[in-house]
Amino acid sequence: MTGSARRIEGAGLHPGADEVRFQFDGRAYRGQAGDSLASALIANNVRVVARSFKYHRPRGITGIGPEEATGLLAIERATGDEPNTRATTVELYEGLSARGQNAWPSVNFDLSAWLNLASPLFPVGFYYKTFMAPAGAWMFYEHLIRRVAGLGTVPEAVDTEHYTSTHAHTDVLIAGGGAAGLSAALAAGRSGARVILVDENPWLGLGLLGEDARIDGERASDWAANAIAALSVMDNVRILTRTTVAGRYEHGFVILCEKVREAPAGRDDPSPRWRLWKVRAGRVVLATGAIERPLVFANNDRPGVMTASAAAGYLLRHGVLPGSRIVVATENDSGHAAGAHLAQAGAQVTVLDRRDTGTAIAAEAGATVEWSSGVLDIKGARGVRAARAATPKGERWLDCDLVAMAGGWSPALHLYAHTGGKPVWDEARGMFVPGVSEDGVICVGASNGSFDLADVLRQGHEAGLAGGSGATSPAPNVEGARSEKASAAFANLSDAGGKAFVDLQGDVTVADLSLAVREGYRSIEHVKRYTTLGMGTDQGKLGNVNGVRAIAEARGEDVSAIGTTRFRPPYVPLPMGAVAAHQSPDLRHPMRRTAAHDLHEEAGCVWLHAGAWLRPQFYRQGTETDLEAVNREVMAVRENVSIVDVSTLGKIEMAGPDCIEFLNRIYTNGWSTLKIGMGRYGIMLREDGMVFDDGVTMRLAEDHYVMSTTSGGAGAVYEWMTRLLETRWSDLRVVLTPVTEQWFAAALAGPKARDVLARVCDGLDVSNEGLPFMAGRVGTIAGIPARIFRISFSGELSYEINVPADRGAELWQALLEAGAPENMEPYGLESMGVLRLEKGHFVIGREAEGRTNPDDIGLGRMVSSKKWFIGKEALGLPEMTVPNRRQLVGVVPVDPSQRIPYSAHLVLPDRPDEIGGAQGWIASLAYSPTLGHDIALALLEGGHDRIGEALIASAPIAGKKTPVTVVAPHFYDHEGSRQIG
Amino acid sequence: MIMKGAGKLAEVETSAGQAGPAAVTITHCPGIEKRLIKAITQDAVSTGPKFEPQGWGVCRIAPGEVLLVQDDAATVENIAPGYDSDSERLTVDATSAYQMVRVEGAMAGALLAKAATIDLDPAAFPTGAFAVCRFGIYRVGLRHLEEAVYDCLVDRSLVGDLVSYLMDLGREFEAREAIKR
Amino acid sequence: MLLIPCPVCGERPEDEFGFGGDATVQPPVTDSASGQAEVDIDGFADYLYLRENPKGRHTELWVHRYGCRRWLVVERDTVTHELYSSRLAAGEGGE
Repeated sequence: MTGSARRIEGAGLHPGADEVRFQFDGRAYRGQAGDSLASALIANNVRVVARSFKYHRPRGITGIGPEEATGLLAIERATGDEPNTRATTVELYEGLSARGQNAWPSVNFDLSAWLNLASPLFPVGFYYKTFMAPAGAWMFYEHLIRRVAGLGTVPEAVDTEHYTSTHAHTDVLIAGGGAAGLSAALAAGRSGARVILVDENPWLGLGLLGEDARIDGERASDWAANAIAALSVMDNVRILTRTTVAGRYEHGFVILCEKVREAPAGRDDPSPRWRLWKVRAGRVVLATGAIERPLVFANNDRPGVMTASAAAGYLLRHGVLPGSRIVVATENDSGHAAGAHLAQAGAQVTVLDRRDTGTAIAAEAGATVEWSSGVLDIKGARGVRAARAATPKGERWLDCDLVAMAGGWSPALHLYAHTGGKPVWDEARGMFVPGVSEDGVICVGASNGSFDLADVLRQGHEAGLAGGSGATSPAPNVEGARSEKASAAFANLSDAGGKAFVDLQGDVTVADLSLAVREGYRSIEHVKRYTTLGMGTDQGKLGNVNGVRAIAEARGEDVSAIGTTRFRPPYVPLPMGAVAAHQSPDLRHPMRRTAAHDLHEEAGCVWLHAGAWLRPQFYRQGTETDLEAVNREVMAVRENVSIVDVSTLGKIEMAGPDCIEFLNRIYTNGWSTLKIGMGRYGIMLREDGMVFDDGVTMRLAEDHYVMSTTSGGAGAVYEWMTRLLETRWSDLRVVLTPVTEQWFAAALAGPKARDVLARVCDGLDVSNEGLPFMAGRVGTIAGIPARIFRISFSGELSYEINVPADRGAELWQALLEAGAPENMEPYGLESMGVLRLEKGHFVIGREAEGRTNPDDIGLGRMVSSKKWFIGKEALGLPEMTVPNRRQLVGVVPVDPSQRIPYSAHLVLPDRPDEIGGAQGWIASLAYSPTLGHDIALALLEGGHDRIGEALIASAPIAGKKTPVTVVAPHFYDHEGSRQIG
Repeated sequence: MIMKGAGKLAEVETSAGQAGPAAVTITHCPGIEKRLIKAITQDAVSTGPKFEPQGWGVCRIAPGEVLLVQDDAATVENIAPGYDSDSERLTVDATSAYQMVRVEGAMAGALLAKAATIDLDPAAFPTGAFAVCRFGIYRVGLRHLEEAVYDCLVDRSLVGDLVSYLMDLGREFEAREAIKR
Repeated sequence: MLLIPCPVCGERPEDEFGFGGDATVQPPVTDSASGQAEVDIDGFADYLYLRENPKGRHTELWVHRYGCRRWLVVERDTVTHELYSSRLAAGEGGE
């Protein structure tokens, strides 16, 4: 049945505004600039806009703001469709295209409507009682259920809209721009405080529309307009409209979500669509108002049943009279106020009030008023046709095309409760009100349960001044305010017959809640999760208080004994783009680049993310395979000369008279004999005795050192050392500073390294005597100031050359040119891994994986018995000396032509499939071109005593097994003669 | 703010950023000399309030720790790296270690407010102020050089990332990237 | 997003900091640079792995990783997040 909504000329905030064309489900309509999508649909008598979640019942618009539970549409956008969007909060724009959801072929004719007829088969929690057997069929059931359940469709294309986020600091943040919020903003603004005033609507002061009282001698809405004008010119006041206060956290931290633009961006329009604000406020004023509750009666979900304040709101804001024969069902005076506005606009209004007396304003406006009356049922599945009225004279059907429900008011106390505050049930007034507030947070106005206009303005005014300094001003004066009786004589919800909905979005009825209680669910948190009450995208704004009342009745207890579920941010769903904002995929994590980055790129390297760094994995030449490239690079280091960029290694400069003492305490080995110009390798333990970092420390001068750490450990080691110095050893005279970023470092390695170095060493003596193994020198290389350290990770003759990073690319080029006679090419991280593996050098994170002590990895000889060090006590714990500890061994395939599988565990040969009895695992694995077969380092229980044993390397997920032999954990030049010569 | 509406209630304009020629420019400035000085005694007088070497901007990071940034190459006094055992001060060359990115223009403050969580209101962060803080995922030293001119000092290995990040933040202001030779 | 008062840099959001655990716990042996130290094995294992988890005031270490990088000793209420005090760890007599 079509409704008879119409636009009233001259009414609303945007009378006679430009026409706006839009589409819904493929049909063209016209609205006005200033309309919401909801007001435009109502004006066009589009009554069915959605199908409900479970039963696919036709649904219309229920509210007028973010509390909307049923009018959820998909908005089609070129940048990415937006499903489950409230029609009530979308601002109409030219060319808007919207679609109904959860229906096929359309919301008007949905083949899934049979689900409503079959509804007795789908009571609350039905999925916990069905689809149980056979267990293996669940994957089949799930596939079906997913297709039937849900509302909107997740878009699959990448969202290309523009989002941003920003920070702000303020003295006062005011949530809500109604009467209380405007009053607070005026007081705070005039006192000179920094103020941010936030409202979710495009206009402030909407609650004062149609208010007859006079404030400071003016009509209420004129007072509001003048207040807004005054605030707009105060430099210390920022007004944010179309902005929701989404969450409130500790220490005055508040998140706002601002809709900057509704329509798609025009060409060359750089504006973002959404802006997330992260605000730090000295104090917060919560003036968020109250949300009107629906009434609970049979079929209260039919299109054309909406809240009374929404019905009046469409008239007052948008000039749209939503029906011509209107039944107002109410339990308080505010339903009469709504009825009066609707009657004055020309509708035929009947008010059914459950109380036996109340205000006369609806009757004075020409409405028919019946007391001790209410609505029992609705006829009209695709739009209200009649309401069943229960009156003292008996029951009858009333013809109507709109039913407006005034079921009482619920203060919007979500922001109050976000930090854990507990709402308190006010039995006399039938609402939850805020309980105790923390310092710096004040609830005012309707959100505090106050509805008298004078009280509201005064509370806002005092809150605006509270806790501040600066000028004060008098509170607004009110005349002629209607005394608002928010009290109600509650009906028993369980008296409602048929399908009486409590949660409109989740299709949860009173019967569902009673059933849950009968099945033994007591706590409101359990009932919520079992029935899905309040779990939709509306987060129970319309339904939760009715739900609590229904549960209280079913349990035979007071509402105060039931309480509310925990409120959590955000107050409304936030677009993921706004939350992610500038963390786009490219910028998701830091990408550190060395000074030679561009040169590596030009040389054709394959890049590897190694922690926060981009490092060359290897350099492909021509059509080489990965393995061919790596093998070539390895052999170049073993037989010729090559260079690798090692800038990423951590470097920390250390100075002061107590450096040796400090080194002795943090490394396991001794440092007292370290000479100036020499370096020493050390391993660092955690306090629990496990190896966690290693590196070479060079002594530059008497009291001046530079320590190396692993690339990944640079930050952690620096913080560990400063923690020790600042919290335990502040008597040690040591100063530390990280210098990783100051230096570019290249390692020149191979038997011909000295030949190449000699061409660029600018007269520095780099002979074996002049620059012996583990020595360090300061000089210039290729004319660039440099530090040269003769240390080797590859096991070949090797020099690590450090220059200021600004000249790093210059050094890299100079070294390549100096190595031209040898056809020198660079090598990468992969090859470095093979080289160190051949030498049996452990790596932090692989062999030293946090559970190995020095002895486990074969470095027991580095643990000094002559001094104390961090971790020493732990090495004496019983578990540290048991015989079957996992110890470092080498592993080679029995048949050298066989590959050892990745991620293999080591199992006994007579029980090769018993992974549960695995003896250990492969920690690092590579093909060694030097030796001609795979090599691996592994951690094996009691490994030190099992050299020579035969085992199987098994990777069961890959289905691979290889017979292997346990060998000593080094494969090449164990004596180290090649690096020392 | 522009008011619309027929005197009943007024609509307030959104906070969309204003673009315009050179509303904000982001420039990587390499090669500026810098020194980091750290003393063993954290409240060492030598790096306290009276420490003002000629030609250097002094950025206080913590007690006993300052970053010197060369402001005037013509008159700058020489500060050599190394450890001085009398004053127990370690001086390291930080010229390469920190790279400077200059953000300037009418929208510079609005752009930086997107990155920085510290209060950039002129009362809280006046010209001459310096703070080490977090920009997104980066540790940045922020100098308020002059009205609408800020310098960001960041780890050398991240300067490319930081510039990309700032340009992304500045998209609504049509930020320009300039390269200083 | 807590606001931690750094004595050097002022109040900053918690994601500028790293958390360092209970500040009142010291290893049960003397940090002696020379020779062996007396070790209570059970006491040391407790030191490594056991911590109090109070509902209320907690004295704890934070490091200002994205700021001055100093270590702070902060008194915080673990339930209300009220911050009672904050000082540099390297005060008088650190150990």
